[in-house]
Amino acid sequence: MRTKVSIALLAAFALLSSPLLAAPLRIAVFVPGVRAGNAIYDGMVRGVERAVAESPGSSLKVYEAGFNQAEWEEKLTSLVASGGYDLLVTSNPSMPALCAKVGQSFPEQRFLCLDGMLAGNPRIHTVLYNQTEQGYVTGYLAGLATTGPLPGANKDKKVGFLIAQHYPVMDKIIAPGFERGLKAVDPGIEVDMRVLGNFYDASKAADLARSMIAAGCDVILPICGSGNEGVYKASTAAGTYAVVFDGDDFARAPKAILGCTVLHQDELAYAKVKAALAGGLPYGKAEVVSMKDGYIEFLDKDPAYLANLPAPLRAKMADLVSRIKSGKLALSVPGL
Amino acid sequence: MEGLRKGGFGSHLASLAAALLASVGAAFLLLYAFSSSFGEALGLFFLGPFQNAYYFGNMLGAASGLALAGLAAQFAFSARTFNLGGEGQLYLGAIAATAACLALPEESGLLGKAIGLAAGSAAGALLGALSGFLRRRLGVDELLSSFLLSSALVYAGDFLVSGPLQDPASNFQTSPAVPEGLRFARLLPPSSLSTAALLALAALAAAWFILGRTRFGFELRLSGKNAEFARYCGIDAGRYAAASLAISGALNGLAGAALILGTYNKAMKGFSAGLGWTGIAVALVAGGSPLALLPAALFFAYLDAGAKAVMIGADVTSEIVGVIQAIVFFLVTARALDSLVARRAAARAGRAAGGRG
Amino acid sequence: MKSLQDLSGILGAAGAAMAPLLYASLGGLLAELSGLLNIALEGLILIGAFAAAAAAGASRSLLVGLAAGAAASTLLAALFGLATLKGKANEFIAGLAANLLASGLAVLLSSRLYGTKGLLSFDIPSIPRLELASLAKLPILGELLFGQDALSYGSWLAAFLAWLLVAKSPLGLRLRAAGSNPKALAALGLSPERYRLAAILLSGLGCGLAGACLSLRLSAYVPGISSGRGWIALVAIYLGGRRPLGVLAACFLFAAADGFANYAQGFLEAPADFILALPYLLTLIALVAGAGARRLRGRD
Repeated sequence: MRTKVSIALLAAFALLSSPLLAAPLRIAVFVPGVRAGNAIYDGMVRGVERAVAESPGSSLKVYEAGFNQAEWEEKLTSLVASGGYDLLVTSNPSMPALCAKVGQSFPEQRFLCLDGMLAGNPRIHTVLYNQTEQGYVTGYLAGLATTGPLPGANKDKKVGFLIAQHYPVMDKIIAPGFERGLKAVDPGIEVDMRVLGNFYDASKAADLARSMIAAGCDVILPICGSGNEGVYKASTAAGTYAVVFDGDDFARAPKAILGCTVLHQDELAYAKVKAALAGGLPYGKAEVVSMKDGYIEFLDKDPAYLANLPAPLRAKMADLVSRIKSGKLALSVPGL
Repeated sequence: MEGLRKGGFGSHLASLAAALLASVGAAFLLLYAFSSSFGEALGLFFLGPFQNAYYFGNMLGAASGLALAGLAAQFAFSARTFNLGGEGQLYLGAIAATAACLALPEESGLLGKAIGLAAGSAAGALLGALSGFLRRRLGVDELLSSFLLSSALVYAGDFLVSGPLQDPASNFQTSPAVPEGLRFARLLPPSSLSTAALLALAALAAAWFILGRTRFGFELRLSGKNAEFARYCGIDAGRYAAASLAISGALNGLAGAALILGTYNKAMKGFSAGLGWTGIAVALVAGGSPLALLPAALFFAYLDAGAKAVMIGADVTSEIVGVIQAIVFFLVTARALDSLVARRAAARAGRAAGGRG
Repeated sequence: MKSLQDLSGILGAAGAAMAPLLYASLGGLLAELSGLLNIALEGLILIGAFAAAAAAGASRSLLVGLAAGAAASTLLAALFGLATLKGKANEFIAGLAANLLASGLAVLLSSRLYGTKGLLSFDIPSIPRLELASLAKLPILGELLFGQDALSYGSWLAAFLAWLLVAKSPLGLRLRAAGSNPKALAALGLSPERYRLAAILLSGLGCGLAGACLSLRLSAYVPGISSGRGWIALVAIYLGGRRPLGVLAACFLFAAADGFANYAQGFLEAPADFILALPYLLTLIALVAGAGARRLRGRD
């Protein structure tokens, strides 16, 4: 009887005090690129910052590694070697393999890799977004728009897709997902895919967008970093449309942007670092998050969305989202 | 004439030292203005590269690549040609070396390494020679043709790395790693310093000997300095100009190949971006002497290593580091290169006058 | 070419894309003629773009933006000029340094003034265009000649003025003498260095307008907005045979090659990397063909 009571008391105490028990951590964030102009990296840093701010005694070091991917290994090694960090947070499909390699020299180091996938390494926890869903939803919206009665839409069933460059996640997951979404609306829709060649030349992006618009594209999906701005400007000027990936860009072109399918990277980073502070990251496990978990969201409340997309089409989008969330429409993400 | 050059080298070192002092002052001010942990940042910037064996090794590894790229630029300068194609020559040289090594078996050892380096040099030489040919046969300015060719071929390199050579198992845009047996031995693992550094030293010594002590080198420099006089001496100046471009290209290719076998082990998209330009800066700081390339390359590598150390250890962002580097560039070059500038201006005036005639 | 309408569109886009190249290239040409290789065009364009967008955003005035862009670039050019002319710095390294300084400064200023290192979007009035819709619909040259904005026509005017200055005025003669025969100029009691400094400042002015062109058309500043245009402008100086009208032709050639590459992406199945390389290759081919033709005609 007494033991039972004391166990119950202990349990209650543990439950109540767990936030207090959370040991402070020394955390480093490795940004493989630069934070500015990148919704994903910026979100990661903001999420970790918030979690660290709520944990007295914890510290945070944010390190931007720049665009040359060949230098990341050296820089990650230097960062890990320099600080005795308890947890290193990073984000990018190519980072888990790099963390595994660097981890061999630093067996005590623990890693959290968002937006990537690697199972079975006891030092690394990864979380992958189901970007097939993200691409599909965005494609479905673009498909509805190009075939729909929007004032800026033409008769051509043609949708533009401007990417910064080809990379594995783009070619294996995002582009196929986008195309599947388009074809689900109408198998006759064509994709005009073009490449900007970098993530920043917004002027050239505007030129390319105008060229696509002249070729009959009335909706464009840009995934080219700051280059997106050029597509928004060209679409606004021409009275055509853009659909948006990753970030909430409505305010940047409220007349042209039909919808944004965003990743809540800040929420994910916050939740995961909170879990780490509470001592509970499942290292070795690779998790996949999707619309159902709330980390991928189709923004359907913005005034620009309500103004630009007619109600019947909005109903179709709502239906699609609920079918995906309920699991009726299962879109699995291929492994990386 | 030799004496004159030696004197130039001495005053060169003196002005480099003065510039270093001035850059300390500039960094001091900027870090004071923009860093919240001033003392720490200052210490890291200047002493960081010596903080541990890893940083130190990386600095020396970077310096060996810079020395080779600097030598490439300098070889062209010594014949008064301008090779602005370093970026593409380096990148394609690296890719050619990677492709060659991937096709070779692990056991090919020393011979395999030699083949890899030869493939890289050959690719670079081919590009350099094309600019040389266009200059000699058609009078196309090599400054233009090398830049345009290189800018176009960087994209071809991107295509090769992320297309035919792409490692299917990687999420990076990269080729697979070359076999273990074909890599240069690391001297200070896990840092990037490898026996490729010895290769760079050997190349500097060889260039010093060839340019300064052989008939070929003498005629090459003479044909650049005074084409009219060279012609009078029976030297075909045009051929030397073309040769200098081919050799410059080959050295860039060699630098790329050495980076693959020594540091990176695989060709990643854009991995060498910027090195061709920095090589030109290294060559200009070094002036005309191949041996001066060594301190010049070390200096540039030191600046970069300091920048990396301060970014990791203190709350200093890359922009401040960039501004400090820019100021150091200004200071290092100011007054240090009097003679070279004057000679180049004279060469240009001569060329312009010739072109009008 | 799918239709003449497409061709007109490509040429029109090339006319617009040419403007920033032309401003920068004309400025660089003056420096080159005076005897200084201005490697810093890229950085000068960048700082001009930043200043123009910031000032136009704050004042809601295009003219203020243009003036601020020109002033900022001219200031940086003055630093470059003083370093090379007074400090005897090597023009190449000083140019690289100016480029580094420009991108560093733009970011530092951006984070100090706006709290971000990324995209800066401004509410800037749109650039006035020629309203000749019927003429712009003419085949082939319609859009190029009649469908441009004020900055495009301004760049043509700049080329004309540069031609007047370089080829027709005594001032231009002395400017060229500073480059090709500084001793003769000095013998006349004129300082070659003064002409060089003036030329450097003018190249700053040109790059400021080029940068303003980029950011005012976007009504935004994006880090890296110059995106290699300074280097292209540098090449155009030589491709154009160091003559203002040749530079005009070279800039147009490059812009047209780029415009065609953009257009071709829509239907060519070639890998994107090759299409991105196309402008450089086409320019090189034009350069080689031009040189070959000159050889054949026995000039040179």
